[in-house]
Amino acid sequence: MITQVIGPALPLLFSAFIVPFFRSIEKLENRVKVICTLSVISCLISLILVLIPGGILYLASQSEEGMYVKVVSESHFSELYVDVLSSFFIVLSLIVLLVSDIYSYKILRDEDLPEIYYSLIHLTVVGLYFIFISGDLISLFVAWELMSVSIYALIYIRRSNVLALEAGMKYLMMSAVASSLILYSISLLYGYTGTFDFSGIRDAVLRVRDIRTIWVAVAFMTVAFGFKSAIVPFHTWAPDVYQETLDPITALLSGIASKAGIYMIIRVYYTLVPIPQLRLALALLSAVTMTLGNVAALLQNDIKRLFSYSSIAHMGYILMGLASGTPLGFIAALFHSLSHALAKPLVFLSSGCFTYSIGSRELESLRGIGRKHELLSFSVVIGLLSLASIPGLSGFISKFMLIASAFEANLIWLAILGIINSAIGVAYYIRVIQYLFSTPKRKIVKEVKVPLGMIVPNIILTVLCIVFGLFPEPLIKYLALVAKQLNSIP
Amino acid sequence: MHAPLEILFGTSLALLGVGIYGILARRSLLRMIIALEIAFNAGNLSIISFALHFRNFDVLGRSAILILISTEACVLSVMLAVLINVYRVFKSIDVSKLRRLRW
Repeated sequence: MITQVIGPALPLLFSAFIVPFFRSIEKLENRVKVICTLSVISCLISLILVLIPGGILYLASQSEEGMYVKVVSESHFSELYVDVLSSFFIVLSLIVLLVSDIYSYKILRDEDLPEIYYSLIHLTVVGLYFIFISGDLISLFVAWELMSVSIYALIYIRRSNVLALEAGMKYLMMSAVASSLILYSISLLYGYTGTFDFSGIRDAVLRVRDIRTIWVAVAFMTVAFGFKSAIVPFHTWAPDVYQETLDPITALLSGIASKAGIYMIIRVYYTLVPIPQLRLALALLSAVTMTLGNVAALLQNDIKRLFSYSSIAHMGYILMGLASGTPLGFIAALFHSLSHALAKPLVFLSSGCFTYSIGSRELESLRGIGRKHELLSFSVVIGLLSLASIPGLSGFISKFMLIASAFEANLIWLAILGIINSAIGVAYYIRVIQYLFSTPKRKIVKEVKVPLGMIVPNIILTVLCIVFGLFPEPLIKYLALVAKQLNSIP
Repeated sequence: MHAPLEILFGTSLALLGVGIYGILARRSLLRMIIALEIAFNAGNLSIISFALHFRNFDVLGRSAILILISTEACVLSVMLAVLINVYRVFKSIDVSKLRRLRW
């Protein structure tokens, strides 16, 4: 069983370690092309290993309450824990990695970045993979640091950009504080329960059921993981970092690295400390996050900054489903994670293509650019409409279920706030579309042809957005298993 | 014979407070990194105190502590690399001068 669980991470690790050696081969022509092909192939192999029958996705859906896997057979607790939730997030992260791998090729060649770029994005996803399958707090912490360290280096990999260095430093300091809080809350949970593994902690917490002491650890963890998923009041790094890094890294960060925080919040509130009274905190955070994200997005003129505030708002919507805690709420929150993880990289990458074409990120300078690139403007419109939750796309189904779940859990104020915020969201998405298709005031001066390698990822994501919007039933059926596995104990 | 739990755990809480205060109040990047290291070690000390008191510092506690310390060393080395980079670019490690990104 351990081969199926760890196996899909091995191609990613292999490519991450082999890529730096290509630097020493002097005669190799098209070095970037070779490295990119190798990375894409390794990512595809991992994706296939996850999806085949007998792979991790299939195994996780077979068991009643998730699988516990031991790496060291003598140890008295299991180091790895896999259920439908973790395999769902693994598939999500591999899809986003594949897309940003393909997109990175052109950037890597143009900007003359070091080859280690590809190792770093692969190591980020390896870290995410081990976060999703870890079954005790120590291996979770190590995987978390692997992901964080790779992201620190990725943010300012473009040395010439001074603003990226500043954003990266801001992110690093705040992320390190979050890590120290995670470590301290791990120690508190260890003190309460005497063990590091998930099932042991869960049993001990359910036996004692004393919120007065456990809420400190839960609060620390919420702060630390909420930081990574850019939940307001811990969001201040997100607009700066999303704005200044390269487009594929922004896609990776907003697409899946923020979902790692959401995953850990689900783990903390539903697997480790399954006490319903604590979930009111999630409802409050959700209300603040979506309101501030949407209102701040209305004011932006830089297209990447606008999308990063919208990314913060979407974290608020996801928390709305988690706060309700009903099976419908789970399905909705995970479905919304999927539709956000498809649509947000899509808009970041396709607006990155426009930026590449004209060399500016201001909304004003993008006026009329949509008329020139038909395919790209189609995909960016699909992405924006999916984020604005227009029927027929995946965003609509997930947001509909989110609001329904909030009504179901008697959080009526939250549901109404969600509807209002959704309306505000439509306002700024339509504003972007209007800029893209209005008549340009003056002729666009500088224009570069967008290469095919930058268009292909957008097409993949557009197709996925439409497919999950038109045929959501198989996914909903699969996600219903998550609700069953997590709610097996009230 | 070892120190009682109250003293060890109280020390770790105090260290966490010192670390967080240092990060918030100091303006020098180097001092912030030192404060971060103190905050990390607060967590380590807390784990050690619980392991000593409840489980007699068994293999699980010891191995966990070793893994955590080495992980933190990795994070710290990356931070120092960033510090050097910041110094080269800005000719200063004062974080109050890094204020170009706003809203």
